[in-house]
Amino acid sequence: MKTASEEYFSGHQKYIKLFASIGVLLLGITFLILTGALRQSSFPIGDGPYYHLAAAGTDEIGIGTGWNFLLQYFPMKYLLIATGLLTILLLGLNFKSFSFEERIVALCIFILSPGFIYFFNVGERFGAAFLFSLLTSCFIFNKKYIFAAVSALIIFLFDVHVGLFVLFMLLLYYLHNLKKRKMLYLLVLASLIFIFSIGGEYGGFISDFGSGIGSSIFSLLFVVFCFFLFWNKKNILQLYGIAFLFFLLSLKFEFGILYFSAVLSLLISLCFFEILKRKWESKTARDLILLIVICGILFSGLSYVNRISLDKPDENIFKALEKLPDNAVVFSDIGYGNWILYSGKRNVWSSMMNRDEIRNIEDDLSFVFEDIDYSETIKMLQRYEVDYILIDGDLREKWHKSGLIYLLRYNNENFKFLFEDDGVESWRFFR
Amino acid sequence: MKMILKRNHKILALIFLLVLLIRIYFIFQAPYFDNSGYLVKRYTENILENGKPVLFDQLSYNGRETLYSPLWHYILAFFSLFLGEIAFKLMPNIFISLLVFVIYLLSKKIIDNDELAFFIALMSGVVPIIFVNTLISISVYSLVIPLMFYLLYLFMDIDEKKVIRFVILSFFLSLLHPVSMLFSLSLLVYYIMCSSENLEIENLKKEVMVFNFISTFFIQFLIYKKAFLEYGIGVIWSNVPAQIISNYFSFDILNFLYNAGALTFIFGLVGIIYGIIRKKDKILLLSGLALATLILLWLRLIELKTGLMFLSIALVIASAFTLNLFLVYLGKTKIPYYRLSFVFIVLSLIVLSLAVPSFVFASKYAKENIPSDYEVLVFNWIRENALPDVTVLSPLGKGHYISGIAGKRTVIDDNFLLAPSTTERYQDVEKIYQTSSEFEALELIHKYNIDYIFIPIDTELKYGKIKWIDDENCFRGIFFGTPKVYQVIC
Repeated sequence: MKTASEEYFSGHQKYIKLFASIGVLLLGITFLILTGALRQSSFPIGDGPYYHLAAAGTDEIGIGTGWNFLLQYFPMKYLLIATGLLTILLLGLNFKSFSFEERIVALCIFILSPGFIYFFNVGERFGAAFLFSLLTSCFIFNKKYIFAAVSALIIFLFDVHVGLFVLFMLLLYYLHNLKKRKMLYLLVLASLIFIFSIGGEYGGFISDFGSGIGSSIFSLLFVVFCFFLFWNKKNILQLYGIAFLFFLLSLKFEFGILYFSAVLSLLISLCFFEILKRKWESKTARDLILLIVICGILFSGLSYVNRISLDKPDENIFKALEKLPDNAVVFSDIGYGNWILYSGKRNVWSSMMNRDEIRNIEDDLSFVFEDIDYSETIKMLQRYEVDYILIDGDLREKWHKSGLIYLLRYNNENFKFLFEDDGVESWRFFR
Repeated sequence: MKMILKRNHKILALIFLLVLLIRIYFIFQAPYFDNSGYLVKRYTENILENGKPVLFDQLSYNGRETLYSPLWHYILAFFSLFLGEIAFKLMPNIFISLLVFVIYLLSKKIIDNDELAFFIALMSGVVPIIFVNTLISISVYSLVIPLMFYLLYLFMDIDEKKVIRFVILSFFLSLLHPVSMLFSLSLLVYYIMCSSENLEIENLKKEVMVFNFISTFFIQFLIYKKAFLEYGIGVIWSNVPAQIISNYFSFDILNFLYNAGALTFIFGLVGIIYGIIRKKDKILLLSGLALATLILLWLRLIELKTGLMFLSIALVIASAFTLNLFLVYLGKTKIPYYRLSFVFIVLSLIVLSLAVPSFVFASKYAKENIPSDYEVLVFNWIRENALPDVTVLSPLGKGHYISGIAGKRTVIDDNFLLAPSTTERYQDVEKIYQTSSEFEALELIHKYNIDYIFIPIDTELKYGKIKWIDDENCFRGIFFGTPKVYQVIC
């Protein structure tokens, strides 16, 4: 005998599905605009977007040409919302082989993940590259290989590394379909060795512990806990394997966190429903555990939104930069390089340079930051043809023991204080 | 049955009253609180005045953000509304005296012997390390310890009825203090031990274990989010200066024997070992707690005295198991006539090994760890005569007196979480008291905007007389006894 509510729901399932889908999209929109709403200034977050904004109007072929091209025609804010929503839609299509409930929960968790929040609120190129990789896999699943190839090639316009990664994943998928297991495992192993041999910085992987981008601690704890419960379920175990690979990738490549977040969300969703299906002695304990996990994931997402909304840059830096002449070389921290570029000045270094280049400059500038060796510091500043030096409160704190701060205070011969605006100081360097 | 229940209640109530009266006798001999007590008092008074916890402490570290769970302060504030200032002395002692009920229940569950359970309950009331550390500190552990052991009691034979109580108290404990993580870790160690011994754990137990683990972590995360972001995983060391953290696990076995009671330690340890060998589920649970505490102590994640408090109670309960075995064995020997006197001697020895050190330590603690009348006079003078926003330098262990009694800013105190560069400050403060160079001292004095220098007698005994303080061009002496106070005038 059916209860009234069961009858109601079976009769109105179509509407329920529609409402759930609309709910997911609304959640997506909320998390795509929330950061901007909480942010005090209208300037984009981080330093990467300023590189793209600076390159958008030029013919220069640099990093993220595709993204720079799009930014030329569309405002970044709207472009991010559009790519974010399309990503949710395409991810939903990629998860088509799972039940509707599992898909909806997975999408909600993905929207709340720091990876999604970061890449679709900060105007980096990786969000769009991820979108096209989802499109590629959608075409592959639907056996539209020519479209898939075109889409895969477009990814290269956004980021070469993501493009190569997607091609590699397609190769693995192909081998999987051909059931060439040995070859597949060999390739995975080789790729892991390659990833870990290329070096690179480790920036932490738990956003709640202060890492720039990462995963929610609650998501990670939940999947680790579920691993002990469901390690004997083959489909879930395979997903754990993929998640682990993507996790390793995310430790080396920033974009890896998007792929890891997507698989992690699916994994959490599957585990969530497995836990619901499981026989529990205490329903209270089960419900409370699931409630806490949901609250934890939501809390992590919201606190991450709040955190990145407070990120730099603020208006004061651009106000100070505006007062300096165009094309002058302005020296500041590496994280300020793209802001300098965006405001029409030349920088000494920026986070968009390749690792070796940055390392070389870092070695050169060690005199400026560490020693109080007057002649070496001056020599280095001359070598990089520095005209102005820009320092704000954070840099004063960061460099408080450096030779540069000491020289600015005591050397009137080479340095001249120009102005201070809301904590941002500008100094002239006489070469 | 009803008669027995009533008799048991009466005996338990008597034990509770006895423990409480002993405590009251000691607390009213000490007119003041110890250093940490003044921090709790100040934060509670803020709640009484504004209804809100202190989020930015103007006095500590020359002004800094604070991060703590204010539940304990709210509880104290609530009782202060009815009892006034006496609540600070009375309530923590009432809470910790409730431990005798919890230990009775736990012991009864382990040995099913009423008389022995009463005796163990009495023992728990006079464990020296707990007796001393919860006497005049307004310590949150006064409530945490009984609560944690009550949760252990609920967990031992958990059923559907007890789940709700367990859930609520588990939440409450997590809100009260981060040491609730110790309880979660104990359950985890218990689980590992049972699994390694191939002992079946009921599903319900597993479920509440998971719940406790997740809820505790979630609440800690919610409260200490800022600290997690600031220190990452290093938050577990609570920003304690490196110089202090290195002393966290200076485990001295003789000191522990004296603090926890030598016979309790021996009987407790035997009980735990025997319980593990015999795969006794309840003893395994206690072993889980003992082992988890030792792990945390070894990793320097909790303070030695905090760890020893939990360890000693676990040993007291485990000793019930040994004593029970001992009594059963005596019954089987050919000396039943001497049984009573023999038992009496052993039990008296145990009580003496606990009660005597408790009373000795309590008297000593009350003398050494609370400010003298003269010190309070000095603090009051500073409160009334110094300008409102001056900074007073004092050693780490006296920081809360400066902010609590004198109402002035401090350079350092032991509320380390989110405090600015604690290691550097600790080093600098030590350097000021230690250095013979006036130039070096003045540089540090200006670095921290110090207006007054407070020199307690123990600091002088530790580092010797401060020579540069006699420079009358820079320092004006205000008090020359013990303690000394100088004003910085240059």
